[in-house]
Amino acid sequence: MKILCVEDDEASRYWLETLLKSQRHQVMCAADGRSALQALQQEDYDLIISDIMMPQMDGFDLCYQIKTNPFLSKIPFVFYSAAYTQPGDIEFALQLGADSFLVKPLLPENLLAEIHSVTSKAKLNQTARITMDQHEFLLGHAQRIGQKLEFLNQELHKASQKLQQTEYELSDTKKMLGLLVNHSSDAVLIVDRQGRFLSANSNLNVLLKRPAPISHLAQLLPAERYSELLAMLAADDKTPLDFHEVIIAGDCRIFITALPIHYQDQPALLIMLRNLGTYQQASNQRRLDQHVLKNLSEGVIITNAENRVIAVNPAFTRITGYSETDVIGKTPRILRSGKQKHGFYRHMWSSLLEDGEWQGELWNRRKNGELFPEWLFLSLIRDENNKILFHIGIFNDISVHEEARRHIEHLAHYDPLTDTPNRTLLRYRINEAVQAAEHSRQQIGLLFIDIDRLKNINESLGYPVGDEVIKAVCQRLQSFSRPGDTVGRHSDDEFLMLLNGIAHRNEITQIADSVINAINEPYLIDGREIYISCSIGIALYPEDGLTEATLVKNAGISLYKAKNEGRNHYLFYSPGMNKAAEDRIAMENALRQAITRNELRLVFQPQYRLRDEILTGCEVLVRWTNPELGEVSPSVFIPIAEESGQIILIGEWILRQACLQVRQWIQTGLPAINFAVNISAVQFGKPSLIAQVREILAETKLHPHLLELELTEGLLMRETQHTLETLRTFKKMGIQLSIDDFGTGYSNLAYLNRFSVDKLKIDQSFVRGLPHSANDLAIVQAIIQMAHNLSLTVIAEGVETEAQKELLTTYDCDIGQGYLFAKPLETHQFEAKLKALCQAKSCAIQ
Amino acid sequence: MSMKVLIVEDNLQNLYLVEFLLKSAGIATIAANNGQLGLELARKEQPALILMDLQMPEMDGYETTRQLKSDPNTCNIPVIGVSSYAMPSSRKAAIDVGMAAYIEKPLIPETFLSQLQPFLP
Repeated sequence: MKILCVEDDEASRYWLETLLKSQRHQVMCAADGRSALQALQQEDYDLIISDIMMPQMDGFDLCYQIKTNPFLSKIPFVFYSAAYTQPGDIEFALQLGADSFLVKPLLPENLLAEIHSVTSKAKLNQTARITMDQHEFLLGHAQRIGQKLEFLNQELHKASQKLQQTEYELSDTKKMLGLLVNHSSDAVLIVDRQGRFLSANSNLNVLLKRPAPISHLAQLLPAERYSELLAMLAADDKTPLDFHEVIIAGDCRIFITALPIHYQDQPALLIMLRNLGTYQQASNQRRLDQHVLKNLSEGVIITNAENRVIAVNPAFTRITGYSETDVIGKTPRILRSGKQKHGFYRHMWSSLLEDGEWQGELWNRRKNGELFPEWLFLSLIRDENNKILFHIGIFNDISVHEEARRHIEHLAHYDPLTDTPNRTLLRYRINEAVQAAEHSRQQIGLLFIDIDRLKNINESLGYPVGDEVIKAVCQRLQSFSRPGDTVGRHSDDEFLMLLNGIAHRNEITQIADSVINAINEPYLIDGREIYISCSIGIALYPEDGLTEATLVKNAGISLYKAKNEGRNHYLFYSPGMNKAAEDRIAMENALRQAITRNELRLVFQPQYRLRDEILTGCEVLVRWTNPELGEVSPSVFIPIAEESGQIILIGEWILRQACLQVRQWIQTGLPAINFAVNISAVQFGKPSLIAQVREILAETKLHPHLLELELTEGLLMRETQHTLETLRTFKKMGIQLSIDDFGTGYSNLAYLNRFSVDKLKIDQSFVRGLPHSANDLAIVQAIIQMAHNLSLTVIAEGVETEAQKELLTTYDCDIGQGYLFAKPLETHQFEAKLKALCQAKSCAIQ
Repeated sequence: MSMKVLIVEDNLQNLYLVEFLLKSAGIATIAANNGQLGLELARKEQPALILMDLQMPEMDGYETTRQLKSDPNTCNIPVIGVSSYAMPSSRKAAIDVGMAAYIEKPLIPETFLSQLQPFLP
């Protein structure tokens, strides 16, 4: 944890630092509030521990600054104060938003326990919040300081009586007193009951910007306020005075408070002055207020004491139709609808005057005569003599809520993107159709339609484009629907089409054919031509099922089969299909136990530097051998693992095993090589991935630089905040990143730079075309050149012939992998390669 | 000889801290908040090591150590002098009165324990 300790006393600061460092926390120290704020601007902290009494800016002020700063307010704040704590300090600190208030001396165990409790709460987002405004803070702060000053003054007095034996104590107290008086940028002065200055700190003249020093309170306050203050003092000196005044000095506003104290054995007044900032700041505040008022979606109407309109905001005009000039000077009665019950307004006014506010629903009339319901909140603003200054009304037009209610109902049954029936309504419609067909003895056709590879479009072109595709597909599907048919969106990329009154299978065949043809027509989205295909599974009532559930299930099974057979076509359900679906489920179940039954193993595809054919690293791949299914190809089980989510566990297993293996090689004295592990988009989407990688690296104590994570292009194209942050974190950890299958997706150079990728892998489909295909040649050449311009290392995948290797070397491709060099090797085989590498003493590994 | 460490320190906060650091390392401690009590505890408890604050009112760390070293019951217990934060103190003066080592504050948790290690059984 990173902790900021704010403490002016060196011994206390060292004390905290030693204790916290012993718990392996990172500790930074600041000697006062102002330096603490500077430190907070430069770095992030997990906790602030602060003393209260400090020069420049004290702990209370620091806490106020932090808790009112939206960027800092979430940092837990703990007061750790010296022995001079006064009654009321704790309460004030907690109102300021401090998470804890500790008093010295404290057992280290207790301090650590409190820190632990505060930071645990902060992790749950339970950091304390400030509950006072600026005005309350200034008054409270002055009172705290005044109380402390008086306390110290008494201590000083007592101490001076015991001067001989307690010289030590006295000097300490004196120091504190001096600190207080010279405290921060505030000016502090003490006056006697006649207003004469007894003491003042050096800040006073700076603050007041007056050429000549002043020496009497009457020079500071307006005449009437001055006599008021002295009168208050004379009346009663026991209760704390609630006196404050704002004066102007130059272009600054100065806040003044006064507190009765005893000083040098006589009753006196402690006066504190604080700079509230310049007019400029005040006018900024006004500008901000106006901006908020102007942009508020609620209508606002402000009237004066006589209830005449003095201001309205644009939302008022939008809702009522009355412009500002229409209403200024009038009473709000012009809005009355005449629909409210007798006595309504009387009741409203009486509770407004009594409670200072009222809220409720009422009907008003717009300028065009239209009636509308509104929710109105009324409040009063009074001056200090309780006289009404303003009436403020804030209201919402709730007629729009009526529309919202209808909208919500629609949303419950319709898909918001395509505005077609959603799954709920579809099921209802199918049920209805089944019941009707039972009576009429007609057939129903249910088409389960899935857009092929919509995921690719989403990943490479982004979800907005994917959404446009879905909408366009849906429109085309609707063009085939006859009266009584239903087309709706079943899930992301799946649609259901319910065809009523089917006499013969042929009718459905025709429709399915036309649907596929129509979907294959190009789509023009965002100025881009997009081609897609779809697969269709078909189930018939009553042949393939008698209930809605069976029909949907069987149409789904035939759809799955159609997709597996290569997409872009349709299939009618047949009972044998259930077998295929069951097989898949069996494989999914077998895969679930693959890790625990030790059926997975790693193989290593060596990577060679083309220039001199030195082994530089490997790509780690996984193999699965099941006693019943035999050796299952990764191209079969990885997609199943991805769809079922098992890739999360399998991916973690691969990463951990790979790290353990590399660790073991290093321990036996073999060279430390670069190893690349594939990360699936499903894994990448999990927020826990970073923690997982970090944990495994820590566990195996491997240098992160050796690990390379291979990501697919599509994954980067999404370019979400999550993607950016995850990749940045990996880079910060020192891990290398490479892009797999480069060139197959919608390759985009911009992201290579943005994500600071280290390596680029040319997809084997391009390498395969070498050296004969001019097209592939051009692509490969371009990729290498571009990658080198961006200082990326280029790896060619699937190098199979000598000619390909020659060509790639000529084009300056850095690294190659493929059957020409070696097929993926078993652990012991790759180990042999490493040993050979070591013996060749050409350990020129990065 | 027991594995106990005697801490002689008049400042309560510092005493707590040193106790905490030692306890965290599994080392038992006893404490005295002035030199006189320190002498008595050293004789009675026979600690393995004494950590001695140098600046204390009345009898300071130098004087306490001098007396420890002149008493045959305590002269073999190693004493490590610990400086104060603000007051000047010197390694030479500490060694002259017979201290085995001298540690300057602020204590650094990582090295503090290793500084004591050579004197612990």
